Amino acid sequence: MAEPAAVAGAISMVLMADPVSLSVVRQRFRVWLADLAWPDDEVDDIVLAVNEAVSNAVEHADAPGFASEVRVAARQFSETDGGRRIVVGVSDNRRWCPRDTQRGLGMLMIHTCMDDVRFETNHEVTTTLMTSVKVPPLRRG
Amino acid sequence: MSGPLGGVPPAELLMTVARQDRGGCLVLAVRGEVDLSTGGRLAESAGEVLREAGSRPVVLDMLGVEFLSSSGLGVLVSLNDEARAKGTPLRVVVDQDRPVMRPIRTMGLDDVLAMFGTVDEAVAV
Repeated sequence: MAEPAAVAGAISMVLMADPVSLSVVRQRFRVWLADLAWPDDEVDDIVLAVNEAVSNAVEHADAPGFASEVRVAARQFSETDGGRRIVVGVSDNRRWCPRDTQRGLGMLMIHTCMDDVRFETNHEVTTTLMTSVKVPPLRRG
Repeated sequence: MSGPLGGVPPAELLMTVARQDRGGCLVLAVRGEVDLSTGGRLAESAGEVLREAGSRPVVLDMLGVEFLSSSGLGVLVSLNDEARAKGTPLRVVVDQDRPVMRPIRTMGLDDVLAMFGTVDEAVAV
């Protein structure tokens, strides 16, 4: 018997470290969050934050374009009260210090749009880990 | 859309800029998405208009903007600084209900920029 179409609770993508990737990642998140019935205002915040994190990665790439990649992965999770959040990781293949970035406005935007933001640096990879604000449980009719 | 970039819309489709002279003002209508890939083009077009304007007001119509990133905000701030230095009035038209307002408020730019709700209002000042 066919299962009802499941909404994918996670997405991931590899993009080239180039500004042209930004509209692609925004579109992918909008479609995915619409499938998850995410509230409009919170979708805008997540898309803004992800756009800024990918912009950071693009600007820190050694060789923009095909030679460098940005990896983006996100999943939905539920808390014990049923409230839902999105956690997003954005990684590039370069070691950089979030405090030294020239993109102060972008960093401020990420912190404003997300509930929690942390940076991890491992070897030659810098990851921005962002957790969205909590939205109500999904009610299915 | 397919091609070497695999469905990436070309930047000239992502954002368009159209210029119009209206009621003694230079009106620049921006449509689409302003981000790291298109912000430079906005800075160029608007900068050109600012240099031409002299004492005529420049109206930046952003009613058709669907997305505005921090790079776009950076462009707005530099244009505003440049206009102020030249003594050219710069008026920014933004729909208060659109998602574009969120980044502008977040960065406190609604206190810095001369903001209007419609092009008519901005031209009529």
